[in-house]
Amino acid sequence: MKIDEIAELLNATIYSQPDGQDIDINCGGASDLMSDVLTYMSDLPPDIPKSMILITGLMNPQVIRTSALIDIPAVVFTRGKVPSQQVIDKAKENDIAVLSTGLKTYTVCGILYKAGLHSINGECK
Amino acid sequence: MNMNSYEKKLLKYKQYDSLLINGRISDFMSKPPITLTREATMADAKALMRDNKISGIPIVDVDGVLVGLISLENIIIALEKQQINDPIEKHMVTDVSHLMENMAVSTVMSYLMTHGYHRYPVVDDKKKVVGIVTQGDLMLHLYTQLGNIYMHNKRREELLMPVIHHLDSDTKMDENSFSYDIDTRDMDQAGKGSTLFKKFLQEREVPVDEVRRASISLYEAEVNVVLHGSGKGEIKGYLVNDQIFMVVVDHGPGIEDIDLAMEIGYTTADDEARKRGFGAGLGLNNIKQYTDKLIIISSSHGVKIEMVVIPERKK
Repeated sequence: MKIDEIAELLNATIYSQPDGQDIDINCGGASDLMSDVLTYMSDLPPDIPKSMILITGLMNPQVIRTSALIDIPAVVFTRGKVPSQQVIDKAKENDIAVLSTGLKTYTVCGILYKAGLHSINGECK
Repeated sequence: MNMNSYEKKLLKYKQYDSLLINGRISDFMSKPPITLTREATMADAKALMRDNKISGIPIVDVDGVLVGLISLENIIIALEKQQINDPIEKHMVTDVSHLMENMAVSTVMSYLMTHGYHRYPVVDDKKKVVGIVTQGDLMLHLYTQLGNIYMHNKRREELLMPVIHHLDSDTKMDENSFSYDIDTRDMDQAGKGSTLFKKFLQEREVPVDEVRRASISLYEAEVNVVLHGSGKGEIKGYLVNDQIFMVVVDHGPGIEDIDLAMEIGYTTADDEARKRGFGAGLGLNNIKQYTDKLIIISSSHGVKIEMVVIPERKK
């Protein structure tokens, strides 16, 4: 699924969209805890985060740092969290797409799951 | 032994201070101290000494500030002169040799050698008595430390043999060495060193799985330094024979109980940490999960974490 499609489904604003890169999102994961995101990665092949979108209600530079560190290419902030300039800059620097939606985390998960995004596990390619 | 050779010896001892994991008086003194005020009688002092099997009592004012000392000798003299019911003030020594709580072991050694007393009150910077140190305390402490140092060195040798010369020297930096100073209380910067180290590994064509395991571990360790280690520390990384070695040092208050800290969900982090998506008690556990070898050394003035990531094919 492309970033534009996701933005449309979630009625989200796009704050960062790396040019020249056709990111294809196949799976998603939601957490407000960055340590948790790092914990989940242990059982997964290294490629999986590369097609994952991180759904989070937490908005700060560590979300981008965490994503950059494990190669997550897209982040959506929920509950109307507008990314700070620092977050946007950091995301652009690391070629990470950043979206923001007024929807709640649970709703975002539901919409994207229904639209065909897998959970981050073996099904995700 | 004359003074000159004492001084030479002490200079030699000083260099060992950094080896000691708990090298400050406050790490091994007896506390809380048993004290009396000067209004108490010599008989009170005698009873207190007998009951606690001690040979000296620091005398303090109402604020706990050191004003004198009563020794066994003072008690014997008071008994002989039948002055045992006198207030302590009349008999106490007022010029008391004492130690400061932040003194290093080598300084304590120097005091013991030059003054020769058996026990010393330990005071803080306001001269309040915070503990007592005896020659026995010091000997017991050094003996325990000897055991720790031996165990640590033995274990390090087993785990880190290929790079141990790197870890002990600042000068041997080469194109496969990485170094970063963590110097921030600004949470926004937490993780910068790990991001740079990831790039460092990628440039050296380290496989993606090892890059990820190493950078996640380093990230957690770096966040810990910013959260708990007073924001100052350093990162060193080495790529030796395809193995990734990382050392993270901070100068914070240390980890009180490492076993407890390793438990999932245990944390001493504050709300600020939680706002950042950390401080949930997963950090050390993540490091353990992603590294192949891990050593944590904690003292009351810092933590050192040594981590090794080994490629799958080499295991």
